[in-house]
Amino acid sequence: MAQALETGWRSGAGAWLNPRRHAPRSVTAQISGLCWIIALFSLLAFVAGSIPEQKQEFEDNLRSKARGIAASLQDGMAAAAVTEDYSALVDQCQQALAGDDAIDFLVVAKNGGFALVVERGAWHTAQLDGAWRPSRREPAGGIEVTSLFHKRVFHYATPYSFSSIPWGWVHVGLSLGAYDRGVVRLYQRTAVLALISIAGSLLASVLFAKRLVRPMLRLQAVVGRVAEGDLAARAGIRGAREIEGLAHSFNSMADALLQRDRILESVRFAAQRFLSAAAWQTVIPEVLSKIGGAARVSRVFLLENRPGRRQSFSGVVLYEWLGPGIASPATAYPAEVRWTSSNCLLWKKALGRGELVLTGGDCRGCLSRGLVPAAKSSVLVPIEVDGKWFGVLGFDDCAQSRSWSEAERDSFRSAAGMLGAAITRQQAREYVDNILRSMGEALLVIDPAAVIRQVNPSALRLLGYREEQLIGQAAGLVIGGEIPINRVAVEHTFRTASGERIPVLLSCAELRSGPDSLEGYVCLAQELTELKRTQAELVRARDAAEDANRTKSAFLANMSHELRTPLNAIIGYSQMLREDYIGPEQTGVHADLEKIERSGQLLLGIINDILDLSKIEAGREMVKPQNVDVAAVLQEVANTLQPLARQQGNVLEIDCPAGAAMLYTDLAKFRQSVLNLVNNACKFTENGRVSVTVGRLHTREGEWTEVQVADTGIGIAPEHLARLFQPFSQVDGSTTRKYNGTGLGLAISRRFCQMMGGDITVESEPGRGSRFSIRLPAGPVDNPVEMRS
Amino acid sequence: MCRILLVEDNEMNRDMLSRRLRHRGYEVLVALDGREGVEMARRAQPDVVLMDLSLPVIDGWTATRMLKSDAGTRAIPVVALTAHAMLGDEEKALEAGCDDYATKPISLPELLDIIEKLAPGPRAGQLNPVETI
Repeated sequence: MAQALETGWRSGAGAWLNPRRHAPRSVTAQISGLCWIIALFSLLAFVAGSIPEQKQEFEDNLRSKARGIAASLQDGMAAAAVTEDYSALVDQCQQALAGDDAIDFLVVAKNGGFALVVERGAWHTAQLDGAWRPSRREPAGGIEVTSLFHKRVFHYATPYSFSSIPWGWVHVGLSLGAYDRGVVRLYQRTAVLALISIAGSLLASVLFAKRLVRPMLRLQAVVGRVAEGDLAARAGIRGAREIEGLAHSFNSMADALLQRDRILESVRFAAQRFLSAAAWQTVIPEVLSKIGGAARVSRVFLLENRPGRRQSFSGVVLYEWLGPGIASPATAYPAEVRWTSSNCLLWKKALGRGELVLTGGDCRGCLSRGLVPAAKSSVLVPIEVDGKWFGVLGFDDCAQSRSWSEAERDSFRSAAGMLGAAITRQQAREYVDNILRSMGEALLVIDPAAVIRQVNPSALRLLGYREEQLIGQAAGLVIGGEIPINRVAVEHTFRTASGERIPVLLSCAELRSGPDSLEGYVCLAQELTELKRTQAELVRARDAAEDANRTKSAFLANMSHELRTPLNAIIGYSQMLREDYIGPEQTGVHADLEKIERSGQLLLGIINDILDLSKIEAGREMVKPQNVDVAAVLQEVANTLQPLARQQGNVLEIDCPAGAAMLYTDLAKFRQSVLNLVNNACKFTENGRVSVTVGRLHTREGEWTEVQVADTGIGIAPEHLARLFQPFSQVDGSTTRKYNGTGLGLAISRRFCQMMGGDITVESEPGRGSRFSIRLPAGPVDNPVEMRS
Repeated sequence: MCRILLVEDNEMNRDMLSRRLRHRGYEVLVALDGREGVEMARRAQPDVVLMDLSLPVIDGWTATRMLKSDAGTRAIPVVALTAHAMLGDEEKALEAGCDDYATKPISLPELLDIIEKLAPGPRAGQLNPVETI
């Protein structure tokens, strides 16, 4: 809108001030020319009227003179009429001629045509007719050239009657010398007068026009100054009424322009301050003061919206500027305000939508609360920060109700927009600063020339420098060696202020604002001293543990040997005695020797299991895969355990045709696992059935070969299932006594199967039996040729 | 007559096994360590060597390798007597050149089968009479 206004003003000014467009004559010339022409016409009219009149007057004088002369001749005429004696008449005429130079001639004509012609110094008679004896008997006179004398004279003729008898005519010729002189003098006078009048009127009209135009010219000069930017220029209010009106209008327009300009200037000032200031809080007082002064308001305030109850409009006045002469109670800022009237709620909604609110004095209470004195007119402009309604920039006029111009409203909006942008920018910066301040890692930003540009507090703490000691320094001051520019963290060394070298985990990444603009590098370092210490301790602990483990293994191996050797002797000697030296007749000794031997065998099994488990746990068991014919293994197991099964009254069934399934796995471990499961099944089943079946299984993970060992034995209670595969977990203490065994077999078997890429699972129902399944990856995937052979 | 060389450092095992074998009609020579075993095998040329693996002076694997690399003793079958605890001992024994192995504690019937397989030959009559305790 301001833009449009300005453009309109410019184009108007252009038409007005550009003299070349129509090449008009100056107002002065026009007015003076017009006045002069009017004067000239008046003069001409006057002259045209007065000169013929003057001449008539001259003629009338001549006529009356001629009439008088004719009358003076009456006596002579009468004598001549009676006596026919013309001498007296001639005398009389000559006397008249002599007495008056103006008389040129006298002619007395009888009706019959006889005429006495008297001239200066001579007289004669003549027969005259025509003009000398006019048919109409009336006196007449005029300037003419007479036929008799052939000269220009005033010729006056009057009829003469004697005793009411028309006798003749008297003609008087008067010289035109005086008349002509008079006329010439008249013309001369008139001409002089006319010249004087023309000059005078010209002068007067020019002076008048100039006087008339002078205020306009002054106004024009002022307009010119305003147009050139001197908005303080004002037109003098003196001149014609119309000019005064124009000047008034112009001055108010200039006032409006000046104010708009001031407000715009204040907004520009605000923009500049907000852009250059580190914190908007430091510049807001002077910005508010500048805008308030420019807009000539009583108060400008910044209110931060506070989320409050729905039925009120709560906020905190962060800053307030009061115009000159506005008294306010000393308020500590930020001051809380809460407005509750219905109008205020409407404003709240409008402001929330980003609309500007104009208020009159209709809600004095709303504005007075927290803000003293009350406003008579206000503009409330919403401030948006980061897309959300932050608060209000308010402009109050406490002195009068006023309307707010478009320019003012636009400017207020601009100011609020810039304030919002400044707050947004600062919040964003503070957010990032907070992150940098809070992070535990040391951060260094260096430019492409490896000069330190920014550091965070953690870096200062780590390095023992103050910020100003690092900014602008070469990165080599603290980062030893080459700076590794890759995003991967590497171990590196930092040099602290005290010269100490500390190990850090350093990762440097390029800092780019675009693909082609490398602004520097962001280096993030984490101190490793503590980590190194911990690591060293861990290494020591691990070494110690490994030592202990090695010691344990050696101990176990030793103990295995040491235990086994006497055990071998015990078992061997009892066998020897039983088989070779004791006769069948010594039944009691035989049975006792058998007990010794069995106990020895049991002890040997326990020792073997413990050794197996300890080797698995030490990770010393290796899987040595080979092609395994499952059927052969199952047969071998059945052969081994058939005696046990029979002893328990069980039927042991193996359902696996020879060559039906091949595995590529560790034979010994597979055999031991199956043996273990079948052994358990036979051991915990009496007079029942133990069946071993082989099948194939497809799951998401792949193809499996499954060996199931099902029995109809005592089963396992659900609460014991979970611990079943834990070492030493034969389901309860009583079973150990009843069924022998260490409870290590299942744990070992399961570990073996897991090492071979499979697992052992179990389903069981107490009293009904158990079903253990060994699942191993199916088929010799690595060695199909051998499998076929 | 089938002669067996038993190389065993443990006195009780040596005594027990040698007595049981003799009882079954074998002539049993004994050696207490690996070196003695190798020397005796060269000298006495037994039909079978029963070799314990953990022996003093020269261990059983080395002794076996020595026997198998010597043309004079190469033909003599060697049966390793291994301890179950040492998983992989069997493989190591076979690698070293043993012809077969028997796991301790020795099951005499199995061992006799192995001996019979490797060195079929006449034994000194039937079982020796039962010794009185």
